[in-house]
Amino acid sequence: MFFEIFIAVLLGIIAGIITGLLPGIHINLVATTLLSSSAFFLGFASAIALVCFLVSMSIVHTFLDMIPSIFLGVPDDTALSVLPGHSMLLDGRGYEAIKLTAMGSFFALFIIILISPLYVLFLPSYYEYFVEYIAPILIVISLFLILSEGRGKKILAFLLFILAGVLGIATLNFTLIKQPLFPLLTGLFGTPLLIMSILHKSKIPKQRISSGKKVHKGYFKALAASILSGSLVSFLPGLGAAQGAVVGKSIAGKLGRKSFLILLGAISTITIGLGFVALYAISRPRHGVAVAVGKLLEAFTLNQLMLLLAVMLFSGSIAFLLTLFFARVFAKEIMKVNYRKLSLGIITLLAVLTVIISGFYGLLILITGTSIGLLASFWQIRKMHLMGCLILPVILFFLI
Amino acid sequence: MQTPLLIKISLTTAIVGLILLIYLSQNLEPKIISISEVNFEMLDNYVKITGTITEVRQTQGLYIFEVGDISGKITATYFKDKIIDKSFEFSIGDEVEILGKVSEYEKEIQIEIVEIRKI
Repeated sequence: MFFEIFIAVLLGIIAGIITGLLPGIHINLVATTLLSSSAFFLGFASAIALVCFLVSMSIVHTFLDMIPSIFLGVPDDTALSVLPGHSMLLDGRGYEAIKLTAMGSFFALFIIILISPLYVLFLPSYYEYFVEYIAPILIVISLFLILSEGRGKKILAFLLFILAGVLGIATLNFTLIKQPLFPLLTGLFGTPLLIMSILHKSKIPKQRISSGKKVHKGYFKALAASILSGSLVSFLPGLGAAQGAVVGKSIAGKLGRKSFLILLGAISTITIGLGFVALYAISRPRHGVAVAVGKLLEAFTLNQLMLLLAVMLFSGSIAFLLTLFFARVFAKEIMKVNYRKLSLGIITLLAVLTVIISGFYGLLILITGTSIGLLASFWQIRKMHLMGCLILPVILFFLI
Repeated sequence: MQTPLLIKISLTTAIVGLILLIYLSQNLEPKIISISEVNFEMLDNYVKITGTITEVRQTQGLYIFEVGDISGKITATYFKDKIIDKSFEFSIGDEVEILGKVSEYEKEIQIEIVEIRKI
């Protein structure tokens, strides 16, 4: 039993490294594949071992996926809206930026363990009360996020939210499509990033390996804000790390770019980790991997939850070290890799997988989603508005 | 920079794609098949069946129906949080049409209901 779980966690760490480092490959893809072939895997592994694999993979993923998102997909013109991670990369401090997000993710492990008892104790009784307000809460948060865009971009952000939302509704109601979330999320969030990295010949300046030793007061503010916003978005449907980061940023008030990176890392790990706790507390999955976990575990017990928390702590701590290692490798070798070819290869792979997983019509979703995702890049509007693809269906679900 | 052209292309593709998807999702539905035709090869696909409810149970988050037609019977589950219609009620003897996803539970094949209506 222990040995089996240990192996599962180690395999999960390896899977998390792969999904984390390959741009455009999401943990949902692995979760979906595992779930649809669970009959095969359950032949030689227990359900809880498969779940430990998924939890370990998704936590490791949240540490490592900051590496491609900071090192790749840098806008080529000196746009005003350049993200803190990219601006540090352009200063030659990509490694330090990754180190900050990894620190945030590492502290997030303890925040998850801190928040879990509150989730377990209070969510079951208060969630029912919350349900009636989910639609208004989502509307308020979405509007807040749209209005937080700069001048002249609010209308475009609203348009993107609606386009993604309509795509989400059409996709989720398209009963001939298998695994509709795969082409939907890949199209909106995966392929556009890859296409942009092919279109732009972004020159990444020479990187130096340095780590800021000074601990800012802002770091604590960032972590405190991530506790509040992370524990809010983790149990609400349709909201994820990107929304959490913006909500957290406005809770914290002024944050320097370093503190923002801490916040970003922390929120992404918190939303995934607390998503599993929310599954236990309210029996509702809030992200793709939690869906798979919910289906694998017929009854989710408190002991299993504690095991999963231990798995998160273990794999997360290893992921912290792995992230520093890979960030160092990326910083040194980034110029040598032909990212155009890699990106082209991954796009082809994703298109083939879409046809295999979702069928021919899935390709139509992928292409439509990609076009909408590309519009966000061209207009330089934050990708989080594309989460309208899930938020709008949820709002309608709770309103109707 | 050819961005304005790229924006036009993306916007056109997005809108044409959306219109196509909305049209297709409204008009393409799985054909009605008999219950015995539902098999493990259809796992995760959507199917449409008709039959009579022979048993109704419920758990905390789930309605569980046994549905049968002349060819056989199958378990169909409905997540309570998917229920939009507040007057959701089905009982033994109801003739129903079910649209749902083929899934597996404890090595048995079953259907996760997306739409169920009396006929």
